[in-house]
Amino acid sequence: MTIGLVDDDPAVRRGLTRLLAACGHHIETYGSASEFLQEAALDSFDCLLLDVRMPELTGFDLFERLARRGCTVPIIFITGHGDAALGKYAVRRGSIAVLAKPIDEETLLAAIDDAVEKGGRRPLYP
Amino acid sequence: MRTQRVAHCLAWLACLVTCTSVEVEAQGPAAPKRILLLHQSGVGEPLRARFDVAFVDAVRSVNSISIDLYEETVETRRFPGSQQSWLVKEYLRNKYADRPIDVIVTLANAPLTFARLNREMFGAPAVVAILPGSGRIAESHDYITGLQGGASVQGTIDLAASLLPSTRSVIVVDGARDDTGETETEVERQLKADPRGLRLVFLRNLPLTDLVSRLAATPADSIVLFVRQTMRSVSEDIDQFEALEEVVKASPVPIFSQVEEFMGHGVLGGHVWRFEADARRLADIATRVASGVEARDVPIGHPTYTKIVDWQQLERWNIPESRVPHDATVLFRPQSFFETYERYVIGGLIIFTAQLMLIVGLLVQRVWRRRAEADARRTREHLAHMTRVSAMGELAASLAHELNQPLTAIRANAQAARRLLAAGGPPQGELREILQDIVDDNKRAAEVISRMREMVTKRTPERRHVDVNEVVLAVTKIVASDSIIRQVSLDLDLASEELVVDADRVQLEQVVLNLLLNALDAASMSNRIPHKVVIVTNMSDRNSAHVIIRDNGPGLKTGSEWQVFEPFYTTKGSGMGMGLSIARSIIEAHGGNIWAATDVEQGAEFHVTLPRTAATASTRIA
Repeated sequence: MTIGLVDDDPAVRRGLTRLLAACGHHIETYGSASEFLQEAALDSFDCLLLDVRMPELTGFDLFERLARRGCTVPIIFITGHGDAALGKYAVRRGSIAVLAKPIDEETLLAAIDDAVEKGGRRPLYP
Repeated sequence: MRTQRVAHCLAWLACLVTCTSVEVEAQGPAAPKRILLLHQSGVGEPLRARFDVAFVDAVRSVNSISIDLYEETVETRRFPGSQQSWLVKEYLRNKYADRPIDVIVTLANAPLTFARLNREMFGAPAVVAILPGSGRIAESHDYITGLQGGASVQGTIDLAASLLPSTRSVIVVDGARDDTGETETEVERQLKADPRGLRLVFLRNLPLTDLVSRLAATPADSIVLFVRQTMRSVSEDIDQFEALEEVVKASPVPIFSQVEEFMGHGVLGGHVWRFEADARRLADIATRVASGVEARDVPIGHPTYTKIVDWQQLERWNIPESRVPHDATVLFRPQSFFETYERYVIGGLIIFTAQLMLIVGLLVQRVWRRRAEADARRTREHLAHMTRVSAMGELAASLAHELNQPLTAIRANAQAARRLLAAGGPPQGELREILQDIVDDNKRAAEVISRMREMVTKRTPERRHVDVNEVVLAVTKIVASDSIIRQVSLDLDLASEELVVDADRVQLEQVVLNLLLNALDAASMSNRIPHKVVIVTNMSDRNSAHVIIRDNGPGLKTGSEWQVFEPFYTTKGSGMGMGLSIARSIIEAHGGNIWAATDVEQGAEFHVTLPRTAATASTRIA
């Protein structure tokens, strides 16, 4: 399974890459939303992990843009800024989950499984 | 001359004069009253002159009647003999033949006798006199009145007994070629009743050389009463002051006298006649009699006497001043410094006191000011701490984010490692990398915590060499997450050289933090996208470090550039409005300046300058 990770923090990127790799996933990482938009091939991902708080474009900004492009890749938000209202909003808009940092591996893996299960079957609603 | 002068004064001390009765002649009320002052001694005699001055002054002060004053001298001592006496009498009879006198005033025994015997030729006037101490002249002659009570030997002896309680005998010096023995009689009369039983020794009419040798042998428990010594030898007179000087030199015991003029010439003290006071009293009596009061109706008064002690003699004879009776006057006491310079001393004291009060006032003020300054400093530190804590409170969310990043990485790394180990052991290299990442992330988290602790811990400020660039970087790290959360880009444009200032690092960080948080607030409120905050550091001149914090927010309200630094000024919904006020007090306490720029096209710009430390400034020059 190929997972895309967008997070501005290199340490977080390295850690999550290792964890997901150890679980048998393939990870593509990007340091910012614009980097992802420029370089990533959307179709290659089974799931996207987006950090919410990033300089310039936030995870939500990226989410909106992807939705506008008709992207159907399931999206999981990760945030160090735990916010229940934010989570509800994001889920209502079509994301799979909003996970609070630091993320527990069980929760993360369950969310990914859930995302893959639902993946590609419903569009995102901007 | 002096001999005569003193003899004049002393003459009335001898009190053996008899009187005859004379009728008082009535005078018309309108005519001026004539008073004749009859002296014994001639003109040029100081005692007489002083008596006359006091007498004339007193007479002049009488306004009720007009008075003609006459003065004559009988001079029976210098011109003795019946022929002389007759000539004087005939002269005066002719002189005053058609000028009747209303009152005759006499001061000594000889003129009194003359007046009594010859008053008919003056028109039988009343006589106002200093009367001998004994006898009843005034009682037997109703035209005579005045002051009666001879020289008080008793008073002098009382004084001597007070000053020298061990006195057993009194040596009386009474030497005159024409002595008639009056003094001895009077002294004996007065001391007859003395309860102390003093032995009296009279050195009468001795030539000076004999007197001096007799005095030298005086026993220690005696005193000398110097009545007079007008003779040098049986054929020659001597100035009394000269004689007194010899007596003073020769006497091994203190000398007393009843003549005021002898005071200050080696005499210890005495009960002395105040002749000037009595001159005024006689004038008073004379004018009353002249204006019609009958002499017999004027009560006989007592002459004025005062006990006088010479302070220098007290010292000489080593007599404690406590023995001086209360009614005695001490003469020649050296004035104390205060008495001599009273006005200067008081003035000086006033100035000194005023200065002292001023000094004390200034010192108290200084203490108060220091206390107030210390209070102000404590308050400032307290407020600064409170604002730091409050700023950290505002940053809580972003700090949580800041901490969550390394924690996320650590947990992910640890869980990855666990999985790898469970799967049969990862390559050693990878495991090492994982562990290294964990350690690094842990350090990063610890740094966040230590920065946070630094800001919220209450501490005493301390000045150190601080690089302004480092301060800006440290603060930037604190607000990094916040700027991300607020979607504000934070750009740094730092000077390439060190900008070292003498400052308290945490206080300086607080100022930059405060300005930065304000800038982030402003930028994030703005419609201008992207939201931007720029921090610039440079040297505004060789001696100052300059920090500029610029945002592209809505900017400051025109005219509020200075208001923003006032306490409680705030445009935010929350917050006390103390941040910039404290920032200003911190920067000013560091000798720097802080201001808000107005001429900015977009947003706001805050400037801080601080003096660079001399060390680095000079290093740079070198």
